[in-house]
Amino acid sequence: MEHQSAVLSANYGWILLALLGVIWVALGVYWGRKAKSMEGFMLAGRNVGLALGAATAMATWVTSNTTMLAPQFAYELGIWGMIAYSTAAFGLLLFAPLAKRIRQLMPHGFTSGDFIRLRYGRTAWYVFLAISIFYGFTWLISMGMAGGILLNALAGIPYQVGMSVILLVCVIYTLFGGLYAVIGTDFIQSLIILIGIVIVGVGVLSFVDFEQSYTHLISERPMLINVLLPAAVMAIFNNLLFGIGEIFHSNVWWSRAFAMRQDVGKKAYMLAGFFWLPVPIAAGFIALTSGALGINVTSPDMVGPLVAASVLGKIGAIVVFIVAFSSLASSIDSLLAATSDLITEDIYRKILNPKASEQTLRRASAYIIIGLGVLAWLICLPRIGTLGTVLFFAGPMVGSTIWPIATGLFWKKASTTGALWGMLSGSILGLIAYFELGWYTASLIGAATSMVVVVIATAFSKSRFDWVKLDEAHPETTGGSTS
Amino acid sequence: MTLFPESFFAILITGALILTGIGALTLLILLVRDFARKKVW
Repeated sequence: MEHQSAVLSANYGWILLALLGVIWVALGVYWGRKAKSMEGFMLAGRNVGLALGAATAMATWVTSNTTMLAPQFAYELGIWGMIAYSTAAFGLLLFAPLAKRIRQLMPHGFTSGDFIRLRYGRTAWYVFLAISIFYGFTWLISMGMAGGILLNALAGIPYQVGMSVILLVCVIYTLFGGLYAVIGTDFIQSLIILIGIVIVGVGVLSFVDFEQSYTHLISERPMLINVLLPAAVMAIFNNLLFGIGEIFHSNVWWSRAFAMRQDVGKKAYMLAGFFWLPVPIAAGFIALTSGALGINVTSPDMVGPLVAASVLGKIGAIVVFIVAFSSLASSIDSLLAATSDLITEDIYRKILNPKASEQTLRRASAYIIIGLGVLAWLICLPRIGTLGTVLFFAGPMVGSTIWPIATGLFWKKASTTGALWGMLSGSILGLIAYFELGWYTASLIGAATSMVVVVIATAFSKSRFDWVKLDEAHPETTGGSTS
Repeated sequence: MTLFPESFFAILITGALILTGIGALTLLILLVRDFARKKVW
């Protein structure tokens, strides 16, 4: 059955779905031939250059939320809504110096879990793994569900089919190509996303100018251009901290820091942040033209595709479909790769089977990628809408990791006590704030609590960490043994 | 109610579109440069 707001016929939807699926799998398998060792599979040989490095960071951070939810943010929260969304770019910008530091301190590192274990010990590592895997998996589920819902909404493709296809395609090419496939496809996907957004934006502006849109907003919805819109201003701080927490702790970003060449990480993350910054505004503003264009928006979450299709016709709808599919794939593949790396390296190799050979690890990694895909598919299958909101529970948890990560990389005095209690107290108080005060305070409370605990613990700390301890030998890369 | 002026509205959106386009162009230029230096992977 076709979705009531479908902007593309189902036939076109099926053709595009098949075409994009085949292209991504073929490219993934092609690039995957380079992954001859475990290090190649997990970290693309640690030789990723600036172009691919910047593109993969940018594309991964452009999720389907960015391209589809940004117009909804603009439609409901106006100019401040778009700016609030843009602040998520600060996560990438602030991670840039960390990426350089990570590569310097941990030339043989594999995961963000490696850092926490070596820096703060096993108890903090267990807490961190619980937060990080919960976050990674809930993000994966939310992307899988978003994929099914979006393809259904855009082209009337049944939810279960769309969700299954996008998960299957990403599992296949990640399975064959590891990070090589993920980064290679991310480059093409980032170009598609950026160019697609510009095409739609310029197309819309050729039909309605700024004066018409602005005049209509003044007369019909002046709140959207109000300089002081309190809800949107609150959303800025929450979005900013959630974004920083997501990027600082997640293995999605650490694996890229390990994968980039020695001198590339900082520049790549800076460029990715600058390229990402305008995307929510460029993708979102078209919602503010809907009134001037006389488009009746019945469902705010579909305002972007509706405007694009109304103004640019079939071409606009096709561009939106391709951009949405690329946004989804660039995030799902990264999540599959980074979460499976975390489970393979931190749980399987470090806890369950420390003597595993490279072949065994590679096999385990493949099973874990398939397992993650199947589990995400099973949870997404019933289309329980409220599951999508589970990702927001992760907000205070990831917010509580910001300070342990940042101080742990730069302050010798940063202590295990501060990191452990910072993560625990920040998560607990942040979750209480989520339920008692509102979602928009959760990350703020989680990060602030963690900051206070980490700073106080550091002030009273007598420990002086020896940075050399972070350079852990890895049997697969050095032939030595691990500590 | 204080409203954002129309000029800000126009500059914000035009700037965002231009910067997005520059982003795509920069990625392509960087890829060509990395190819020339054999530093793509």
